[in-house]
Amino acid sequence: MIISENGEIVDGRVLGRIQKSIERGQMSSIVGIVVHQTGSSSADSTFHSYANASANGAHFLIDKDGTIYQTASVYRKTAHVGRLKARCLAEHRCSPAEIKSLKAFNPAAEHAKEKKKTAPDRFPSNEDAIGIELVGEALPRGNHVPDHKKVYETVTPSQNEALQWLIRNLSQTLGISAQEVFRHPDISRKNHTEASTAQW
Amino acid sequence: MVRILVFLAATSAIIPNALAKTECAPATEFEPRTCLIHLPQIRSVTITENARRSPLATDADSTCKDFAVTARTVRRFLAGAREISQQDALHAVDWSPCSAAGEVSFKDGKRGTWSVTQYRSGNLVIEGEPGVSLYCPTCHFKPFR
Repeated sequence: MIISENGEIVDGRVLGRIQKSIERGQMSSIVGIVVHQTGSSSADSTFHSYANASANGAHFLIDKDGTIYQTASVYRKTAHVGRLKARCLAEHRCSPAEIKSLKAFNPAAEHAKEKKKTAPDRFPSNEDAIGIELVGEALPRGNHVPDHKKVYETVTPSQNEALQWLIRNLSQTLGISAQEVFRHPDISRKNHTEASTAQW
Repeated sequence: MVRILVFLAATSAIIPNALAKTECAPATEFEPRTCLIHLPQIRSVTITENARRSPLATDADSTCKDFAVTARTVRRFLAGAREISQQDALHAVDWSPCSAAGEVSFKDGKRGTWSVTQYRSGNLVIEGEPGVSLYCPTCHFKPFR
């Protein structure tokens, strides 16, 4: 995979649709990849949401038919991860002092503690992770079911094939370890069904 | 005077329901874009589910025993809540396995259902109106986190 000086993928399989609205500061190191689902039904609705001046998004968007769009430079940060979970807790290696402080169970405080660490002691964050969005709704539609009870739809075979190709090539080109590729709810407090059917 | 009356008539036609939006605050790295909502005065709040743990939760999550709301804390939540998009409700705010739900009646005679989660998000559906996703940036009181 060839990456231009601007951080754009030069490959016929990746369509360039860079959205300046979701790019933040320069990303000087890349240590991981985070896989998401959009919560919307189409790529168009995601692009529409990116038009908002304060929009948050990720670096790539994979449509249901497997089309890959690059939506941000891989050398720019995007706000796709949210507050980090404590990695030591997920990997059962917290010190007694850390376990005691984590019992307060406050996402903002937990994130602040994690941010002081460097990867791989913490999970990849907005500072150093590439985000890949898969188009996919959380169902059922509408407001008759509270948002926290919704379940993300199954990732399509075409999306999984495109995801495998993209992760393999990004990892090889940017030197990202296979151990540092995560589903969004593995590293941040998000609906556990998000990207649960993604395979790479 | 005529212009003012025309403006007021046009405004009331644009804002037909109790959840009229006015001012919005932009998204930040960790917070969603939120918009003010104006709810009618609340007459009563009842709780039908409390300290409920989602079946989607994993073993590492809280037991939810400490997420027990009262009618008073729900009133405080609704007073501080702002509307967010459904996409932000799913994607931007922290997801909690712990929730509570119930019913609300308003002094204008309308009724609705509400639900809230431990991380200050929620939903409100008032009869005859589309439901809204809620987030309360300022609800840093127990049992919210």
